[in-house]
Amino acid sequence: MTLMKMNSAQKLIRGEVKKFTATELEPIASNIEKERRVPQDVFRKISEMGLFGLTMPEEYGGSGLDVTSLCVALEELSQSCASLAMMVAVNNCMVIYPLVRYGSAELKKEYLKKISDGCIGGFAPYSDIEVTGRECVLESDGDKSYLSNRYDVVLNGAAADFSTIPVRSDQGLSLYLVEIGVPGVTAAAIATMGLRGAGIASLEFKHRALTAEKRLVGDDSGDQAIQSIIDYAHIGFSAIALGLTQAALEASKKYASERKQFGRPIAEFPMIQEMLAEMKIILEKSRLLVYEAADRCVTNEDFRMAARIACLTSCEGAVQTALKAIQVHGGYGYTKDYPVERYFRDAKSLQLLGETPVDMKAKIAKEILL
Amino acid sequence: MILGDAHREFQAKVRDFAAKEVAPRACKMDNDGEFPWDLVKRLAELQLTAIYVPKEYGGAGLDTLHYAIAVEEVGRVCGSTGIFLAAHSSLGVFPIYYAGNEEQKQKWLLPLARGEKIGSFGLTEPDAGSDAAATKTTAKRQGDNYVINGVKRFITSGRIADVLIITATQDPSKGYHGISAFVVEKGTRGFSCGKDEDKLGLRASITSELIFEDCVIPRANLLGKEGDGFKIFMETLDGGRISIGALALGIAQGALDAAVAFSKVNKKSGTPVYKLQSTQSMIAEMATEIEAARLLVYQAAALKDAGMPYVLEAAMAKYYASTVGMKAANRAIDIHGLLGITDRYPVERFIRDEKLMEIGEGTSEIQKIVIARQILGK
Repeated sequence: MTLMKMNSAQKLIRGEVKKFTATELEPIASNIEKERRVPQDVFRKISEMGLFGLTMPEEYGGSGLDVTSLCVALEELSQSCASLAMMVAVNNCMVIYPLVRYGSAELKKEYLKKISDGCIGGFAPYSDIEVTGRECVLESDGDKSYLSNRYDVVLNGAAADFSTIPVRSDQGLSLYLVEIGVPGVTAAAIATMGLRGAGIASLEFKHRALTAEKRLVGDDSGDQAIQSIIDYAHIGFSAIALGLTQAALEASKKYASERKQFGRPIAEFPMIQEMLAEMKIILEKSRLLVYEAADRCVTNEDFRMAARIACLTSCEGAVQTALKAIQVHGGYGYTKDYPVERYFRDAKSLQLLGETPVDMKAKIAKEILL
Repeated sequence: MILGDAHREFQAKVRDFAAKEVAPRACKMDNDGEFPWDLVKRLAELQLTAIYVPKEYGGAGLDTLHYAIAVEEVGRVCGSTGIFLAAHSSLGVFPIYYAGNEEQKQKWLLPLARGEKIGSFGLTEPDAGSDAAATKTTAKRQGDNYVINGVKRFITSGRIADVLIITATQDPSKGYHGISAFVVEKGTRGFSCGKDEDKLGLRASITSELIFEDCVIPRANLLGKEGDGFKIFMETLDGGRISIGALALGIAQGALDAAVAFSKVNKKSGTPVYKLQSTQSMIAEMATEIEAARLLVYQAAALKDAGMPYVLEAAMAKYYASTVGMKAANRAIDIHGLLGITDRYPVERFIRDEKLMEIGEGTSEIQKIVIARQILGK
């Protein structure tokens, strides 16, 4: 989105996040990934800026802004630190959104309050890949059920106080809210290729009681609810991909202008120029798609197809742009002295955390054929 | 390409070794970032450290095709082991085998080929990457010695090498005609290693900075004649491309293997992953492109063995194998879904390792220039 089309609230957010990103985030971005966590003071500042509750209604203590504003913030954040942007996106799109949309008055009161107090939530993306040899066990005992299961990939898992988890039973798929760090629930950091500071963890449940009051979505509509959460999250994820693409292009432009080989800056070589041009094309294409999808959502149109196309294009674009950026940097790009190899790992990880590219294409086709 | 019995038996032997002794530790090696010494010893015991070097010089007395097959099979389970092998054999061993005199061969080639010593090749400098002839490292004659000054960077196995072949210029005004190649032994005064690179992939392979400060080496350490350096490193890189092509091929095959295994064992929404048409489409594309890359790599090796020109074919093999290898590794992750980005599965390691194949020993852009020049005859 061009600066011209932004409303004043969005311009304000953009300016504020840009400033924070440049002065406080950029210098520590590679450290966040090395330490695999966002420092407490940075976390608190993000919280104070209202980013974790950006789309939460004001009545619950949030900023009450729309998803376009969220995209503006995510695009800025992810140019320095996609891990932190991911945490913000997950909390807004995969925690606040379903709570507001599906939560009972009690659940909203309890959990949205926690968020306004500075906590964040997690989300276990429902993977339809069934890993052989691991079964989700759900034992019923009256109105209580006991869950034993491991969720391999839980977004925000290591930093969250609670998480939404999908539970499949004979009746169908439900979504439950569970506390993390209580007996019977163990969160363990997992080694992911990228987004290493985003607190992605596995959650292990050992005979943990699930009560009906903590059920966010019931059996008959769990699949549908998960789909709507993923659809919405696609918008946020695509904005992160956009920021990564922008960052990869900026880094390449800078390096190609400074690096000399054969007596001149490598930016003067047509093969390098072609790569830069391709990156720019991907960037502009992605930006149009991302803000188009966000706009449809804000104006209450059916945004699902647009969001899927935006996410598919911008995530693949971010992966390809980061790979080209490494190529422009040559041997230096393969090292952690430059940020481009991190952009690649972040982009590829991001791409798999929503629907996989294969699934997205299948769903796009399905809608075309309706 | 149909392999003969000898090559097929050799392939089976290396495949077995890689599966049993390298694959189980590949993930840990990647995490630890160190190349295990016992593995170097095993490679030597199996005579994999100088496959194409004649037995009289300590090698296995086999050919380049055997060598390419070995790098492919090892790379299929562990890129770091593959690059160690490729760097030692093509970059450490080859220049001495190619340009060394008998005395030098006895002194250095023999222990390198037997795997008793580790070899390395110092060509790249902070400001001389693709433009390798822009070397700033200098060699000054001083009586019966040369005095070396300068810095080399991105040198595979640099810190752990016993014998290093380095390029240095005696007269920068002569361009590449002024470059010579020298042997520097570990522990020589004035030679030290700076920091090791913290890399995206190939993390168990050591990549070092070499620092020469008034490093004095005897005249007997000159390879070939003064001014032969450019010829020696071009010849070295031509052959090296076959091994990097083979490694790119091996890593791609490893990614395909992993995708096949995953899709056979796991289900997606109740259907075995391998039964999905989308999986089959990706597997078919990967397998076809990998097979085409294999033909190019084997062809380049066979041409070299036949004593025929192979520069064009080697550049094509490296360029193509690394390009389709990146694509295959990327698809392999997609087949795994979100599990593919965790280190529980090897595919995220494969793509990190594979990316170097588009950069090291001549970037894809340089390969295209080499290919175009050969095709255009200019």
